[in-house]
Amino acid sequence: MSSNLSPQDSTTTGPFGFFLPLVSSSNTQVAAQAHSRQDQSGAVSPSPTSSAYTTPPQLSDSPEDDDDDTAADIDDEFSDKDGIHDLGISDDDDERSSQAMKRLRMYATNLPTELILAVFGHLDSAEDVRSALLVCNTWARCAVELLWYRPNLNTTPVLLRFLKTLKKPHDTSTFPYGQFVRRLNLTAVSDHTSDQMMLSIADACCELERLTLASCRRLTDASLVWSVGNNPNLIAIDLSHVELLTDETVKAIARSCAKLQGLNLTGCKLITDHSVVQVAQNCRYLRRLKLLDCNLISDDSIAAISTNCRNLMELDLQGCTLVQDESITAAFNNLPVLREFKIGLNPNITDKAFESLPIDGGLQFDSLRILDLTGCGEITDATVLRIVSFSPKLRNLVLAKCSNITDNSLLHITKLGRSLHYLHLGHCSLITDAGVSQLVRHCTRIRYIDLACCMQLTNNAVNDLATLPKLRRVGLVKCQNITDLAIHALVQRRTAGLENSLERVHLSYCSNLTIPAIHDLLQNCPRLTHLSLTGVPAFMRSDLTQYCRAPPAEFNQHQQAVFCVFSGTGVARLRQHLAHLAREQQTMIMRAQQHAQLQAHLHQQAIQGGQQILPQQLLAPIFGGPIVGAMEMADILGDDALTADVPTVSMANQIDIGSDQIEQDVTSAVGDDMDDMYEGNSE
Amino acid sequence: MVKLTSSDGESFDVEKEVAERSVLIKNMIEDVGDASTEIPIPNVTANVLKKVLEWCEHHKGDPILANEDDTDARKKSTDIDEWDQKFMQVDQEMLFEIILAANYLDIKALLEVGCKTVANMIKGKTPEEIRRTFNIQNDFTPEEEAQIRRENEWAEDR
Repeated sequence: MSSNLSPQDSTTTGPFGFFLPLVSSSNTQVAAQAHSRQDQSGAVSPSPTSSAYTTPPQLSDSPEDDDDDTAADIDDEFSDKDGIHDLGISDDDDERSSQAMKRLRMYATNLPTELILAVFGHLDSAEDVRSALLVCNTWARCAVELLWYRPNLNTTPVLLRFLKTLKKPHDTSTFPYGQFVRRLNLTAVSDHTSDQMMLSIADACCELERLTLASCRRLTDASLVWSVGNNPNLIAIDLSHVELLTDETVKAIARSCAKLQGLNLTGCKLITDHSVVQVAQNCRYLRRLKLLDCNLISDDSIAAISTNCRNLMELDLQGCTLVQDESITAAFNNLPVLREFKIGLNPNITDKAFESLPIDGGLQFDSLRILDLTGCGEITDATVLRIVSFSPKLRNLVLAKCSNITDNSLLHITKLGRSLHYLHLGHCSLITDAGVSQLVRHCTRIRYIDLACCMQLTNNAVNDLATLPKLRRVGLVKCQNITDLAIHALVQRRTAGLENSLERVHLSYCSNLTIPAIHDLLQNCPRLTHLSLTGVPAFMRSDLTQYCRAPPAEFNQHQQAVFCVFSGTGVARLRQHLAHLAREQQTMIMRAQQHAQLQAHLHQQAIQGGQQILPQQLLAPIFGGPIVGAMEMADILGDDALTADVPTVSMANQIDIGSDQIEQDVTSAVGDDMDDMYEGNSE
Repeated sequence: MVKLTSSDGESFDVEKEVAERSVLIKNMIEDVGDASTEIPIPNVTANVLKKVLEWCEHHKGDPILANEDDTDARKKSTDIDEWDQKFMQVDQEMLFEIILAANYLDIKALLEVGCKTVANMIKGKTPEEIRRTFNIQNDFTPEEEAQIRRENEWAEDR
């Protein structure tokens, strides 16, 4: 922010020009109310001496203290203000003269616009900004831009009222509201958007910089061509899953939006190379491009992108199944700042894509952080070796369903050392405990690891994983060899005196697991926000599944029946419930002990004959007895107590958990990590 | 040491490190190339300058706020550190003068503390309460106010 105080003639207007002289009476000075509210609970005293506020030591110790008094005397306008620490004063209008009010108001309204804006920038609720807007003309001019800058259109009524104002003719509207809108996001109300609505918006808004229309499935070229055409300042456009749009809209983007930096066309299956090539040629500043599932896109698009978009940092080509090895090689060779590259879900990709890339010396892909090769089933350990060699700072590596991958790849990956934070090896079923052991020894900064369906793994692998100090998410879906001992290792892991860092644990189809082990996990991992136990027989009981989140609607009946995933508050409630069960069981055990001891005493008494036993003597061994742990409790009480009235158990046992109907655990939370997506991938 | 002179002619001797919390002063020192020259601060009076320098003294070791990487989190948060809160417990005139001086002298962190303090005084209040807090006169006609309220009522929903 540049300085914007212009020199002023201080003899007439005061030092800043903005201020009228201040009345020195402390009663007229308005309190710093935020503080008076916090510090004095509203009981504000006008007296300088009785204030709860204490002078900071630096102030009273300041060598200039005396000078200040002098200055204040010289400058009459400012007398009696420094050193006054009364926060004075109530909201009571009667205490102030109207003259004082008139003078004082100049402070708040005569700040330069950019400073008023800076103040409003710290208001985080739209309501506060709206209140500021209604204060006076000066504030309104500032607040209105802020309020409309990024409208929070989270419900349909809000959207409709927003539109009502936008659609007003310019000459009847207080402000040209549409021109203030810079960032527009209709995703939250996507079901209610229409071409007609979008046209109204595009008529009013011509200064948009970010336009997010993800999942607005009813929108078509009829409104989108005009919407992007009327907004040449757009730098980011998200049209993911606007499935009806065609090349016409994308060509309009290429024509109009030369400043474009981000374009998301995920799931726009109708678009072809024609329009994407034009975007590549005209939008030279493009940094992020997502073409996920645009399966008409071919090597022509990738060639144009590689040639023209040298600033590209993020490229998502997942599911672009026409794309061949040569395109991947070209992208690596021509995009020097590529940071995130997703090329999975494409069976065409083979080792050949990587063969010609330099391994040692020469060009190294220092910027590459994220590489996703999900489902590139042809690639082998040789490619993994190349990847880790030419991109030494790789942080996220996804090799899910790269089924040729063996322990040798894990050995290669150890080269990444502490750079690696995220590794997905789901369905790499050749992997064994030995590979995991190597990996964990070198890549100690791993935060997320998924080993779903690596069915050779045993408790030993989990014991090794448990040593990762920063581990937050671990996926072990369908690692059927693991038992409660593995959970015990996760619970007991060393966390340098901090609480257990685990946040998301995926254990679906680990069918050996029991309730006491999960109880233990829940009690010891306070940060846990996700726990999946689909297809674990011990959990197929209604008193536990009641805390599950609802299965995704697209699941079939069978999938819905076995779905057992706890997230957010569900985890907390399951934790509570299991703790409650544990306490109940403990009580039962104690009663049983009490009963047994009583019997023993009575028996002994009968033998000895005649000697009376006081009630206290009977109770003493009961309350003084050892506390029984949850595990022991279950052992003592056996399955009968745990699985009473559970008809679902038998049903769960009939389910073929080895089939391809593995839980498809899809998260509904937008922007959540991809881990959910991968849990238990089908097939 | 650097000598600064306020608009009302008062001089302050301050450590260079303290004075250089102000980007304006820092640039002036660099331009002059001689820290011993007296630097006039024509837009700030002695009592305000004294207060600003007190803040600079306390924060002299802080990292300088970068220009561009204004993360939303830092910008939005109206958390103010305890010392700064006490520092800002001044009458409203001084509060706004500190803001103006921080802007003129280009001391971003101080400007931010000042703006947050004012923002905290706005939060949670109705327009009328805000007017009373800052003694602002409502210069809308009832019709204007009603229309603006209508046009912006969508923002009431949270």
